[in-house]
Order: sequence, then C-alpha cells, then structure tokens
Amino acid sequence: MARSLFRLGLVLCLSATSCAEPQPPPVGSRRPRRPRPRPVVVQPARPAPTSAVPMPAGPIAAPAQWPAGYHTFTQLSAALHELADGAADATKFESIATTAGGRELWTLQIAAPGDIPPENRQAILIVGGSDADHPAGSVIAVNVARLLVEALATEPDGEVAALLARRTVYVVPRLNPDGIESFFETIKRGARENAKPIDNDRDGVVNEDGPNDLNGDSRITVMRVRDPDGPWMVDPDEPRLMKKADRAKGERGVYKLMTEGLDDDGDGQINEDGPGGVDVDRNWPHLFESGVKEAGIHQLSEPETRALADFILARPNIVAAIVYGRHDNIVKVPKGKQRGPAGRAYRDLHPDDVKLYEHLSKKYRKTTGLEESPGGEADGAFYSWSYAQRGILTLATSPWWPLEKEEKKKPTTQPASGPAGEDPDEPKSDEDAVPDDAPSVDSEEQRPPDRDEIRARFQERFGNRQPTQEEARAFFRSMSGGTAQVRVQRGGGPAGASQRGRGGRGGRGGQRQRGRPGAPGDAGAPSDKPDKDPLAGHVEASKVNKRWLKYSDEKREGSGFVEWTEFDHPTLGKVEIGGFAPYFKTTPPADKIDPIAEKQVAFLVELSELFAAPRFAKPEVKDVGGGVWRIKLGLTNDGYLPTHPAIARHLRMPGFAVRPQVEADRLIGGRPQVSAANLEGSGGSVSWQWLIRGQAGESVEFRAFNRVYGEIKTSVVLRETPPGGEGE
Amino acid sequence: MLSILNNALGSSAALRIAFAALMGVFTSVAAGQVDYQHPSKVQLAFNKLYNYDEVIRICEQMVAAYPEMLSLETIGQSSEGRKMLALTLNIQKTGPHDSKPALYIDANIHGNEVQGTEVVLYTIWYLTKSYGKVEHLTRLMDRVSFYFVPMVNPDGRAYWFDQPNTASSSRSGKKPTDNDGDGLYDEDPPNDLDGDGYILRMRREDPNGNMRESAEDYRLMVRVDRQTKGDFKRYTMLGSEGIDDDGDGRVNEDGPGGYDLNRNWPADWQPNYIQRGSGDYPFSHPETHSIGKFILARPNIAAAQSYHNSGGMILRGPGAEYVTYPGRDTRVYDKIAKRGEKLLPFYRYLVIWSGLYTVHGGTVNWTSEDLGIISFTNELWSGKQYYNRDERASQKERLEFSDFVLFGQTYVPWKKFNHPVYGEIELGGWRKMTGRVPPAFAIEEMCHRNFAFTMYHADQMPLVELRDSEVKSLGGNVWRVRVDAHNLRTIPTTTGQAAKRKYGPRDFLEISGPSLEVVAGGTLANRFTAPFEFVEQNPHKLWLDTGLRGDGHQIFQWIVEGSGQATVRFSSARAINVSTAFALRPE
Repeated sequence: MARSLFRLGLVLCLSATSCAEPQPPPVGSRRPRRPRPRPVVVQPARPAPTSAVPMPAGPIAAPAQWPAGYHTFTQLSAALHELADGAADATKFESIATTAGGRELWTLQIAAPGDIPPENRQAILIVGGSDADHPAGSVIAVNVARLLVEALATEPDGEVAALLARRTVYVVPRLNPDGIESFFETIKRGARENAKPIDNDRDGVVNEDGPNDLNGDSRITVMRVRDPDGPWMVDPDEPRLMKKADRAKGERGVYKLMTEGLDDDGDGQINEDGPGGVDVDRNWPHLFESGVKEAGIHQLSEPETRALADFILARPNIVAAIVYGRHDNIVKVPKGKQRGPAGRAYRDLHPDDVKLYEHLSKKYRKTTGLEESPGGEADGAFYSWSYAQRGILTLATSPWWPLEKEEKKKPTTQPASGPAGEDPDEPKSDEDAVPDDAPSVDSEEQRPPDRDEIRARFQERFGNRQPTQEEARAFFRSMSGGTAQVRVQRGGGPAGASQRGRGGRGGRGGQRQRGRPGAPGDAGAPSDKPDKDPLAGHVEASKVNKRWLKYSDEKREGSGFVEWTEFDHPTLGKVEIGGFAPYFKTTPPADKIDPIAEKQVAFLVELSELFAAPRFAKPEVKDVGGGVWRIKLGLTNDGYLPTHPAIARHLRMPGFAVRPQVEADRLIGGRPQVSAANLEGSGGSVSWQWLIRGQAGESVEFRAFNRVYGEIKTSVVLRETPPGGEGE
Repeated sequence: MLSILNNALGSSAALRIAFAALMGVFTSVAAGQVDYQHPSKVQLAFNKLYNYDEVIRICEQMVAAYPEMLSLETIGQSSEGRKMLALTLNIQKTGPHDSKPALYIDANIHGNEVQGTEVVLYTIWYLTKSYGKVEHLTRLMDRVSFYFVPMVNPDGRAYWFDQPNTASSSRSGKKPTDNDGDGLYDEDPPNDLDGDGYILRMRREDPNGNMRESAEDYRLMVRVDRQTKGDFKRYTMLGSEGIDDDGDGRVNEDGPGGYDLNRNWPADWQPNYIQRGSGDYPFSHPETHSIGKFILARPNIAAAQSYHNSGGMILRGPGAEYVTYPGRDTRVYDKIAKRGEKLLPFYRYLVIWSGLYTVHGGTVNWTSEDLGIISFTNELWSGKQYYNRDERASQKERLEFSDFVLFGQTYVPWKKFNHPVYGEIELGGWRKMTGRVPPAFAIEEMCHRNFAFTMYHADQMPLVELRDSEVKSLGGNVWRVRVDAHNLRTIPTTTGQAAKRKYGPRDFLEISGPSLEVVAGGTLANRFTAPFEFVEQNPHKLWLDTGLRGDGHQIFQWIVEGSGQATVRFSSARAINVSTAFALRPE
C-alpha cells in the first residue's frame, strides 16, 4: 500500500512541471533554444562572463608547454586544459562523451566575452580527428584553436579577435581519440576504427586476427603473393608499384595482394578480425552503409558520433562547419547530383548550392594555396551528414597536399595503365579518387524537377488530355530520377559485398573499398563502381601514386615507401612485403602543421565575414485614414551567404516567423504571422504588408524568429514615411 | 451446477444410481472446463483498457505472483520520465533466457493505439497461469523465452487516457516539439472547449456552407449536392475542437509532441523531409533508444511482434518498394501469417509498403531488415468486426452500433457551444474509445486470438535436434562420422536477411573428442549418392553462414582419426544449442 502510494506520488510528480526532472517547457512559453544535454564539465565552473567589454581585461597567456607535432591523447588533453585555463572568460572546455577506450571526447567553445551570449551568435564548428588514419586533421584543429585563443591576447584589435567578438567557434579536436591513439603505437597500422570490440568475422571471438608486422619494420604494409590467378603485375615503368594486368593486351597477372599478416586464428583467412572497431566517419546517417561492420551496427551507434550529433542539435546557431580529415568538398567542389534510395536525398551537394561552394572554393584555394585534393566519400561521413541532413554549410578539407603541380600532358603521350578508354589522368585507386568520380552528367539533368517543372512537363506531354492511370504513373516515375536510378543499381551485383564482408582487413586505412550501398535489403551492398582491390591505393601505379613516390624519393629520403623484401610466410610460402608506409600520404612533417593552421585561421576569418546578416528593412508607413495605417515591412540580408542555403530549404528547415505585436482587433489586414523561407545573400529580402489601427506616433513592435538566427525585433512608428523606402 | 442437479434429482435411490451414471459425464465436462480455464494468481479483467499506472501495477503484480518465471526491469525513461518497462518470461529450470530462441512483443508505440498493451498483458497472464497445466504451452515455454515491452510510448498512453482526445490524437511521444517553426513548443494544441473530456468536431451554421446533415441520420454530415432541393440547413465544418491559442491565425497547429516513434528506427531511416516525423536521427528518442539497446543485447530474439491499431492486418516488411527480402524468408512469413489469417478472422496479411503505405524506419523494418528477425505488426480491430462480416461497417452502421449495441455511449450528438472566435457553433462526434479500439466486450476475444497467433509464431522458432549419428570404420584408427542436424520448425536458425546483413554470430557444428584428430569435414546432400563437400580449413568446426533452414535437415560428415568418445555440438544464437556424443567404434 505504501509502495503504491509512493508510486502514485511519483507519477503525479512526473506529470507536474514543478518537480519533474526533465522539465517540459510550460505550454506556450517562448523557448528559443532546444533543451541542452548537460555534458560533463571538466573545468570547475567559471563565473559567466558578464562584462560588456569586448576584450578580456588581462592578457591571455599562451600555454607554456605546447607540445610540438603530433599529440598523444594525454598531451592533447593537457594542452587543451591549459589553453582553456589561460583564457577562462573566452573558452568553455568540456567532454561530451567517453569512448570505448575510456578517452574523453573534448569540445572547446571559443568566444570573446560580449553582449551577445556565445549560444546566440552565429557559429562555426571545427571538427578534427574524425578520421583516425589522418591524425594531422586533429592536430591542425587543435592548433587552429590555439591560434584563435592566442590571438585574443596577442592581437586584441586584430581580425581574429574581431571574429571572436561576433561569432562563436566550437572545436571538436579529436572525434576518434581511440583510433588516433593507434598512430602512437609502435607498429603503425593506419587504423581508422575506434576501440569498440567488434567481431568482424562473426565467429564468436573478438579481434583475434589482426595484421602482423612480419618484416619487423614497425609498419603494416602489403604482401604480394605469387599466384598464377592473381590480377596484379609489376608496373613496367615503376617496378616498385603494381598494375592490374590487362589481358586484352596479353599481360598476365602473377600476384595477389594481401595485408601484411598471419592467419592468427587458423581459420584460413588472414587479418579478417583486427583490433577495433567502428570507423566514426562512416557511422553517420547520410548514405549510411547498413550491414557493413566498420560502419557500425546502426547510424550513430557510437558514443563519439551520437554525442557530437546531440552537441550540434543543441546548438542551432552553428551555420558552418569545417572538417579536417580524409575528405574534401571544397578544393574540388562536387557536382550536385541526386541519389539515395528514397530518391530525394542529394549524395553530395544540392545543385543550387554548387555555385555558392564554388565561390567559397575559390577563396579557400587562394588563401590556403591548395589546388588538389584526395576527394570525398559521402557514405556515412560526418561532413556529408552535417550538410545533407542538418543544412549546415560544411566544408571538408584535407589541408595538406605536398605534391607539386604537374604539367598536364596530353592523354595520348601517356601510357594507358587502365582499361581502354579511361582517361589516364584519372586516378585509379579509391584513395586517389577525386570527388567527381561520377559520370560527368550535367547537374541540371540529375536534379529532381521541382513542382513547377513537373507541371510544365506534364502539360507538354499530355496537353489538356486526361492521361490514363498507367501513363500518369509512368510519367511521374520518369520524373523521380531516384527510383529509376535505384533500379539500375540493383543490377550492380553483390561483388563489392564479399570484398567488404568480413571487414577487418586489420583496420587497414586508406584503401578499403567503399562500396556504394544500394537500397537497404538489396542483395549485399551492390556497388556502382567496378570492383577494386582494397589494397590498390598502397601499391597501384596510378599517376598520383607515382607522384607520391617521387615526393617520397626527393623530399622525404624515400621514407614514404617500404621497398619490397622477401619474407618466408608460414602459410603462404615466399611472399614480398612492401608498399606505401601507413600515414605517409596523410601526415605532414611536424614543422608543416603550424603554417597550415595559420592559413586555416585566415580562411576562418574570411568565412565568418561572409555570414548572413538578417535584419528588418526600413518600413514604409502610410496613413490610410480612419486611424488605420498600412505598414510595409520586410526582412533583408546584408551578408553574403543566404540565411538558408538550398540544402536547408530542401530539408524544410524552418524559415523566419514574423509577427506584429498587436492585439488581434487592431490587426485590420494582413496575417497575424507570416514567414520567409530564405533571405538570399547580398541584400535579398522578403516583405509583407499589414493594416494596423493605432494613434499617430505610436510604436508597433515586430518580431521575427528563426531557430538559427534567434529573435530580431524592430519598432515601427505610425507616421507616414517618405516614398521610396530603403534606397540608400 | 452440480448442486442444482442434486436438488432437482431428489433423494430417490434409483435416481441416485441414474445420477451416478450421469455424473461420469458431468464430472468430465466440469473438469474439462477447469482444464482450460486455469485460474491465475492475478485476477484480471479483459473487458477494459488499462491506463499507464494500472499497466505498471498489473505488471508488478504478475511478477510478484510468478517470480519463478517472470521478471521485470526498467530499461529507460520516456521523454516525460515515465518508466520504460520490459518483462522477461522464462522457465529458469530449462535454462537461462538467452540460451533459448525468444519472441519479442511490444505495443502502443503510437500513443493512441492502446489496446496492444492489453494483448501483451493477456499474453503474460495466460502464459503464467498455464505453465504446467496446459501441455502445448508448457512444452513451448520450456524451450523458448519471451520479452515484452507493454508500452513503447508510455507518455503517449498516459496522455491519451488522461487528456481530452479523439481516437486518433495523438500518435506522437510527448517531447515538446516546435512543429511550426515559430520558436514556441506545443503552444497550440486542440482544446476541450466545453470541458466534457472529449475533443469533438466543430460545425457552424452557415448559409454558404458546403455541408448538411444527412437525410439518413442527422449526425452524419454530407456534402451539399446541388441537385437536391429541399429545406435544409447548411454548415461549415471547422475541424477539431480548439482555438488559435497562439494567435498566429492557425488553429491547433502545434499540439503535444509532433513526431512518430515508429519512424525513428535505423532500417531505411530517412530524414524528416522524406519521412515525416522520423526524428533527428535513428534512435534519437529515449524510448526507441532504450528498446534498441535491449534488442541488440539479445541476439537470441528470433521472432518479433508489434501491436498497433487499427484495420485488421497482419503486416510484414519491407516498408519501402526498393527493399526486398530473400525468398527463403518470405516463405516463412507467408506460412506463419496465412495461419494467422485463419486464427484472426477479418485480418488480412499484407506487406507494409504495398498493402498499407511506405514506411521508412519502422520498428519491424529494423528488426526484420537489419537484424533478420521474423517480425509482424498486427493492426488490431477492424471495421468488419462491428457486425462480423466481410464488409466494413459504414458510418451510418457504426452509429447504429453505437445506438443499439452500446446504447449510445460512444457518440456525442451535436450540442451548442459559444466559441470565442467562431461564435455560435455546435460540437459533436465520436468519443475516443471507439473506432480504433474494440468495444469493451470484444477486447478479450481480440486478446486471445492475437495471443494464439503469437504462440504459433513462437512455436515456429528453431528447434534443433541432432539425429542418426553414424560411425563407420575406414580402417585403422580412421572413422567416418555422419550426423543429421534437423530444424524441426519453420524459422531458420539464421534467416536469409540475417545472413545477408551479417548480423549476430554465425552458426556452427563442431566435432571434438579427447583423442581425436579431424582429417576432413563437410556436408552431404544425401547419404547415398551425393559427394562429400568438404571445407578447406578447420574441418572440425563447420560454419553455417545461412544456418539450418526451417522444416528440414542437413547431413554433416567428418573423417576423423583417433579413438574413444566424439561429441558433435551445434551452436546458434537463435536455437537451444544441442550436442550428441558417441563412441568411435564400428556399429
């Protein structure tokens, strides 16, 4: 009895807002921001900045012991602590999750103290270390954070300080701390996964057959194994590299490729269940590769990814994101094209955002000097999710590219190493793939027609005749390109599936076959690319690999390539071990990090100046008699970026809700609430009219609300304005 | 009954003898009734629906009454802090729950689709009271376990019972959501203007209105037909009972919640603009997330059932046209559901996308597509069941049902009300306890028939036996060993979809012995003419990537060298693991 009374009390308590723990906001209350999950605050709570002075009073000390080069997790944590402590009123340092390996997922908020609280300023999110085989991305993110904080002290009147006075920068310096820690292990694997134990081969034993350093060089590279059925041969021009034999030309393959290692568990497979884990940059909901072990059991299954998703969802003020890692969409802007089983999701960019990205790309290339990129793979990647499902302008970049630009030669003078008809300038391996590996289809053609277009084409096709149901169905099917595309992909065959199936491959980064998943439930995961050897990136004689080899020979004393050496393998007999060294293509020498970070900061400044700046335009007021005033009022955008890029509109992100703050009976004409889906950049505007009753000289307040830009207010005085409006 | 007979028959000795002869008949009938009306330790009526608090209390009572087979855990909290309750039913003496194939059953993911919870309660109630009494069920309970989540959306259930609502308001969970993008959360819900506890329809007399009362029944509104002459009032329908709470010119546009928990699961999840109500990402809600973790931690779940309302359907995936299931799985679905159509009169077996509508990210889509669990969704109660005939009852017939069967209790006739904005209007319409839920007297039948369907489903979960082990000497110390592995039920130990998605550990058959060396191992298509298909590596452990198919068997063979005992062991996450031992000696 007592128990049930207690229960009753508990339930009553839960339904009452006064004592419930997760308090729902009172109905009708204005709550401009989502409820925020309370992350673990590692630092002792600091007093909230209350001063209106834009700059901190005292100088901010730079950390005394900033570790040079690449930081282990311990070094990273200490450095971030110190950085945040040294600028306590401009930073907020907290962990939002703990990984399977027991490491904290750090976030650092940087914003100079000011009138507008950081959560109400437009913000840039910087994410590094999502790709564990790309530790440079994490180190660059950390150094960008350091340069930003330091600039507050060293150049209080500089442009960085100006940026931080108006904007907020959130830095997530190491999204995959477990994976990056393997960079510091004695044996370098180039692993991408976090530390969650995964039974890749589903034999009930976890991580029992990873790669092994057979030749004792502390690097996991490639074994080439003599095999009369093998597809590979030594490249005649560059004997260190391999090429696929072209049987049409009478060439014979004599090698197959495997990751360096043993069959540790004696199941007949080599390296099929290595250490870890889930690749946190394949765990995101956009184009998630369902059924691929390394992508995770489901979308955002990992503490790292779920915590970052919640972090972003709780901060609608984030308007742009920069991701340092293995992907790029800004040096080389992808074509906008449609894809996705449901037929409406864009694979990379919304076609109407391509121009915007091209403009940003120009600025980015100019500021950073980058002209080439390794491309991007949208499947399950963070950068593609934050753009395609959150509508955040996300720039992914691989900010180090040491290869010197080569003169473009005529294709005919080049020995064709690929299948006939292929452009020899096109990289051959996955790793080398440039973003537009898609057929060069005009983006217009790929874009799904909008409603008006469909109407027009319908008219064109059937005139005024009523089409039969069959005809109509066929017509609409032809309009939704996605469905048709999916059909084609179904034929792709499960070839890719067996390649990726057992996953594992010893956590070998950089060269895993990224099959494009077809529709979920289709046989395997059909690939729309020809099947590629997942290890090709390490040894294939592609044009770009030859350039990397040249760079290794000329600039890095050959350290980037492990020369082939013989090894007596216990189960395979004589094999040769060699290939590009792990991390070589992703990891700049330590002394290159700072200059890269400086350029990135310069670009951040440029980018932040392009942000949308929505405001109320000047009203037009006219006395129409009878104590009634006609008010014409609009919103306009003084910034360069639109308030809602095409992708945000496509996602139906809420626009601005605008309301005159008058009692219903004073509103004679016009709607009590209007909305604007977007304000284009550089002065784009939307305006409305109202008839409002009131005394001359009286003020009427108008409020606009948007979840990203917050609340904007203006007061309109009921007094006739001169004709012409905002013409200045 | 017996005492009445006793009195009626009087005390005549002759009659007593005759009575004794009769008694034989009567006693057996009476005993027969007791046989299938075994009392439960928990008195529970199944002619009513239970609210959130009552469901919690019933579950706790059931566990207190049957602790040896039933346990309860709180696997999470809902958005508003209610308990996410999960129950495990397992006969412990026959093994731990996760050593047996399991049926997972949930209900009430949509706040207003309430009666599935009663089916779950009935299932628990009936099973617990039947163990050791009903042979069929005892046998089943000895070899399978059950997981129940009676309320996937406890906030929705509490809201539907406690607040003024219609049969259809509302599906959503109750996390405050800004549906109209104005920065306000749940600020313009429907309002029970006259305080009668119902959300009704509003109509207003209007000389230009396009609706009128039907000539058949004044409570039915029909479109004004220009051909019909006559003297009738015209009306404009004003939607659900409510006002423009936030003064934005729209009525009832931002009610409680505003999303669909049954679109928040990972399989084929799509963002909001493609699949309305899907949430920020898969498992973004505490309700779905806690259940997701619960299910992923139990790879022994081989079958799943979700209860919804309404329409009288047994639904299976896929939820979208472009998803296909392997033929070997659809044959299993067909067999179980066709039996279901017989057990559940007026229910139809349909595929979600083709028979109902396209669903991205539904519960059973996830369990069947990503996890390869044979899963059904039943839509409880059909419009055909008002009069138990193959045609749905019309609105007029439903009103008659309300009048003559339920004595007018489920409909509110038009009544006048002074609306703050629309002025003189009328309110009327169905009460919430109708339309989507059966009348009280039909609840028990619904519970029992659906329970019977899930028991059939449960009984199709894999049951593996190793039979006909055969040892033949090949000379010296070398032996040929053969074993047949039978799956005596319809669901394979690894479904086609689980194999395709590579979900869960793989099944295997392993031979071992203290002094035994395995030379070769593999399978045979038959014992007479088929060649020995042997594996290249590790012949002692034969991996079955596609498991043991349902209603069939597979022959395994090893060539071993050695002596003494040999043991063959079968292992699968979704079947009780079995082994057989024999001596290596000529038969």
